[in-house]
Amino acid sequence: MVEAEVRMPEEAEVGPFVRIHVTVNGTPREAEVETRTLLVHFIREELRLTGTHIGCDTTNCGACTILLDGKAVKSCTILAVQADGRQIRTVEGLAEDGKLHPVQEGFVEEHGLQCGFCTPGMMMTTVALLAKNPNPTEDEIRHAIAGNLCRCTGYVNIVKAVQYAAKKSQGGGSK
Amino acid sequence: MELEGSFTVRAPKDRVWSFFMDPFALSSCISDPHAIEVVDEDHFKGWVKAGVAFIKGTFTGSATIAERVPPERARIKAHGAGMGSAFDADSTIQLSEAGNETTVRWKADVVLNGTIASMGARLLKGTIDKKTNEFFENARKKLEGG
Amino acid sequence: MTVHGGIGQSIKRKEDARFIRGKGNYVDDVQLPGMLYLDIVRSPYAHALIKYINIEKALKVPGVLAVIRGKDLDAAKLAWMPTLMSDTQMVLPIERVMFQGQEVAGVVAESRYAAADGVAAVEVEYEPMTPVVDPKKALEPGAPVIRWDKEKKTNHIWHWEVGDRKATDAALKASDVTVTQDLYIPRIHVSSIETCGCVAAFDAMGKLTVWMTTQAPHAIRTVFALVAGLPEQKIRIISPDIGGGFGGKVPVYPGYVIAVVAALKTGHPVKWVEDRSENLQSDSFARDYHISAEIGATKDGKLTALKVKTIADHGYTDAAANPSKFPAGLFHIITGSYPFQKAFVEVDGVYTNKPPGGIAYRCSFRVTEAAYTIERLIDMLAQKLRMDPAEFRMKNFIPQQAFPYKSVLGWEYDSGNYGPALRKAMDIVGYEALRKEQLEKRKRGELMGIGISSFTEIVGAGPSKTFDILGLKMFDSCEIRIHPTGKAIARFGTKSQGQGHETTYAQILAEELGIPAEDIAVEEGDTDTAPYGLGTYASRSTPVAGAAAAMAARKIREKAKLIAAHLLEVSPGDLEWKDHKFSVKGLPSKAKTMQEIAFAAYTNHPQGMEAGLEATDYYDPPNLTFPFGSYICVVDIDKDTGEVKVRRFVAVDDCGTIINPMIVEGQIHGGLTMGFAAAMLEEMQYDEHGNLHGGTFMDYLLPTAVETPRWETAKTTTPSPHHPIGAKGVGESATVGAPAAIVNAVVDALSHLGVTHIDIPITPWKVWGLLHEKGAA
Repeated sequence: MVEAEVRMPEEAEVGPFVRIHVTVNGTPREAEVETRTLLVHFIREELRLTGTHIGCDTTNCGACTILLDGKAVKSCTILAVQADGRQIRTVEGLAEDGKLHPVQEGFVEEHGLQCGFCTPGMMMTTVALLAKNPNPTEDEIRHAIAGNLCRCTGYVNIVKAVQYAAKKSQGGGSK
Repeated sequence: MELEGSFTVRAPKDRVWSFFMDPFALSSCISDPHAIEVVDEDHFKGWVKAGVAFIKGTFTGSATIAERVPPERARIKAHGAGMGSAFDADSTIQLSEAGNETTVRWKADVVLNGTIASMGARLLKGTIDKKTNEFFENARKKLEGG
Repeated sequence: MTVHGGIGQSIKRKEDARFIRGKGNYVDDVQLPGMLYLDIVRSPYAHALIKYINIEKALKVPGVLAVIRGKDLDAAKLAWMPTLMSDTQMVLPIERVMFQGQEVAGVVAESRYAAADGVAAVEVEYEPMTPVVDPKKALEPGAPVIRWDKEKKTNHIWHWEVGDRKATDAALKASDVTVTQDLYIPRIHVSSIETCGCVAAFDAMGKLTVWMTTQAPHAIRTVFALVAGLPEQKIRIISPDIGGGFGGKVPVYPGYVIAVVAALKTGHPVKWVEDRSENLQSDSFARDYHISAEIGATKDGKLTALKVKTIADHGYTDAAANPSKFPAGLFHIITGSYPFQKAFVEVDGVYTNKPPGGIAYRCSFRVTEAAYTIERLIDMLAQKLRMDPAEFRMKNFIPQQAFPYKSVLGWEYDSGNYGPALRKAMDIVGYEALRKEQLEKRKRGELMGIGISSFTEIVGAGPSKTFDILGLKMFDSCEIRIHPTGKAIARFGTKSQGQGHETTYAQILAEELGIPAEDIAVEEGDTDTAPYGLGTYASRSTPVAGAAAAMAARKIREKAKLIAAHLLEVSPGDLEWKDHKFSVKGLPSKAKTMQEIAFAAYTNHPQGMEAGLEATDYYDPPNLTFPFGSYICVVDIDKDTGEVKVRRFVAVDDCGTIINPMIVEGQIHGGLTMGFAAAMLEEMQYDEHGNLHGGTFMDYLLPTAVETPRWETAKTTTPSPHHPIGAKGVGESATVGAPAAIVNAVVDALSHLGVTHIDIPITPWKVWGLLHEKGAA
């Protein structure tokens, strides 16, 4: 009988490591990351920006939404190395010099959050929406945030928050 | 889960039988990375790197030829685990010749447990069909080609 | 003069400031020096013997420091732990696994990625056994016995009943009309967006601190002390910001215990945060009630009797977290808003090879199951009697004069006024016009339905006479301290997971003390500082801790009055508390504010009196509270696809005194959405091997903003006569009341085809099938 050795593949290997440069909320940062490190873990653990949250493992909930070169993406499904040389904006980068972004203001004024866990992702999606569509209808808003799950609010006040932010942005001229 | 199918190949029954009883020949029909070790005539074990959608990983397993009636039919039982999943398969193959063609009828009763069954349930059928077709197509190429 | 942020004002929330800046402090945000990560090996089988667990390969994985197995815990008698229902649950198994996804071993590593690698490298060999998945089959003779560890070899856990069986049977037999129906309320999972987790750390002196996603930090601390044998003063449970609880963060999960053991073993802090799929596959579920019910009425539509039998699928252990005397929770509120003279309810708990739990989905201890059942039966009876369902309800409601109302199953409803709530809902939705529209649409073959749910809730557990969890009485507490500059700090034994306690408690205190809400800091969740309480679930915070807040504030006012008298040089009897200050009766200009009094408490207090201005109250509620409401749902059904669209949903809620209308409305929106999800989208299905199908958000469907209806809310106000501020609580009302309204609407749309009931979730597939079966499509 011919025998062949069953050698298990080397699954549990650490690395390789890559040095990446990412601009985070306007500040250049660099770090060594494993190629398999998810962007959301890089943001939360390496950069210590814990405002971006993890709510699922199948890219459904949107709690991890950030802006990558201005585009709303789910950072749990992007590798950190994919952000090399690019710009990311997280919830921590919304307020400027302590002044709240109209989206943040809208969520407070309209009670668009309860436990707050989905809120950062929801707000980043909103920022991306209003950049593309400054005056969305209710339907357009609901479709835009369909990738952000909320278990607390039932979405009614989130829609109002977005509408508030849209109005404020047009009047106030903030980005 | 009950699976069954048949495939017809332009090759004599004896050659087809030998092919299906040869673990290395069968192994060569698997496209995913894998390895096989023969323990004895009726038992072999191995691993394969495969999966359903995003549930990819290494599955280790073993198979036993529980019954054989050459060159007509055989019963093979397999068991494997990996990636928080487990499978048990009880399959039979039946060969029949007609002219210069041999038809292999196969049936498998597969029980899946764990991650693959729960998360991949919806995607499972598609993947199984795909892998099964791939396997038999490779077998056909080897049997008709060589 | 109103105080800023007093009761009834929709002030903006104080907690928002950190959440919108991404500065919340949730468990997974906690990062400590030297912290390790715990990941868990889980069973693929629902029922199997464990032949061996090999950890050599796992220990060789770079970054892995330890692998913990059942036998390691067994040495410290920690392999099993008690559940909140005094049953037992495995932390890690030694011989057998009992459900697919059960924890089998814990891998501790330097990074979460290494821990995951380690989990993949642990080799477990199982010998599969036949799983028991159907609770009815589990009770049949010859069924495999799941709890091999118990003396009594049976899958039957307990039988519980209340009411008069014989009299109810007789009354039903004598009724002119009866309806008998089986209803299955499937297993669902609350899936708050934050999953469960903890960080466990021992300090140099052996004090254990655990940051934990828990709704009941004190109870957890006590359980840990009793189970792990650690002195209670050396355990600190910190419940930081919680991303949604809804009952799912009440049980003690094995992961918490394994993390504590890992912290002890490694001498490092250990973090455990579960994945979503782990959360769905192993954490506390809700519902899974197989109900058989019978309801009777006279031919002119007066209700006579109600009989309900339930098989309760509890998973492999009873870990339902109900008050101990009520293994089926408050299910016997099932007589609902109606004055049944005869009723009988029985529930049998059953073991199956599924995860344990039972009450974790905003259900008020099985009240969702009860309200759904009675409101479905009421509609079915109205259908049989050919009476309009609104008229049928109005005819039968417990009249306002009957309150406080003692139900035949033993509850004393504090207050209620059901008719006006229903009438208000009908007015807002335009009920009569909708019925006309329905008739016309029916002639054209179009499907439209109107469903009503007039539910009575029961919350605020509970009076110490009858309520306890693991022996701990269900009081709750508030401790207030007012500072010299007139600001205050208040701490509570409850724990908000999004309900806005930092704002609403401050509002109660603002009203009672005359201090603006923004000057009152509210803290919860740290067992080192907060007074003892049983936590937040079953909508108990406002009824119990809110009451404690008012009572503690009034104790402060008593002392404040003496100080004010001293300052004003009058006798205390000359003073009255008016317009949020103490003034001399008949001479309002001669007054002292609480701020002035507070300063004096530290600088100029009367001789012989202790300095300071603080009070604590442990509130033992005299009764539960009974919020109620009427919901009306309007649906349109697409004949070709079976898709149900909610055209309108009007929710009229009565929760007594409303502290913050904006927050109450938010709670109702959220609850309605969960009720909608339960009625239309969510279901945990198990195959015959015990595999959970759809154990991720790809298949377990939470409503998004697209399909969630645009909720319309309104209120009536019927205060609770026994609550210090008349408030009843509202957190779960909407989840309790909504499903029946939706199902009633769908059935109503199809009733002319002979449809009388559809089990939830109502998927397009089910409706389409019915339409074809009835020849309507």
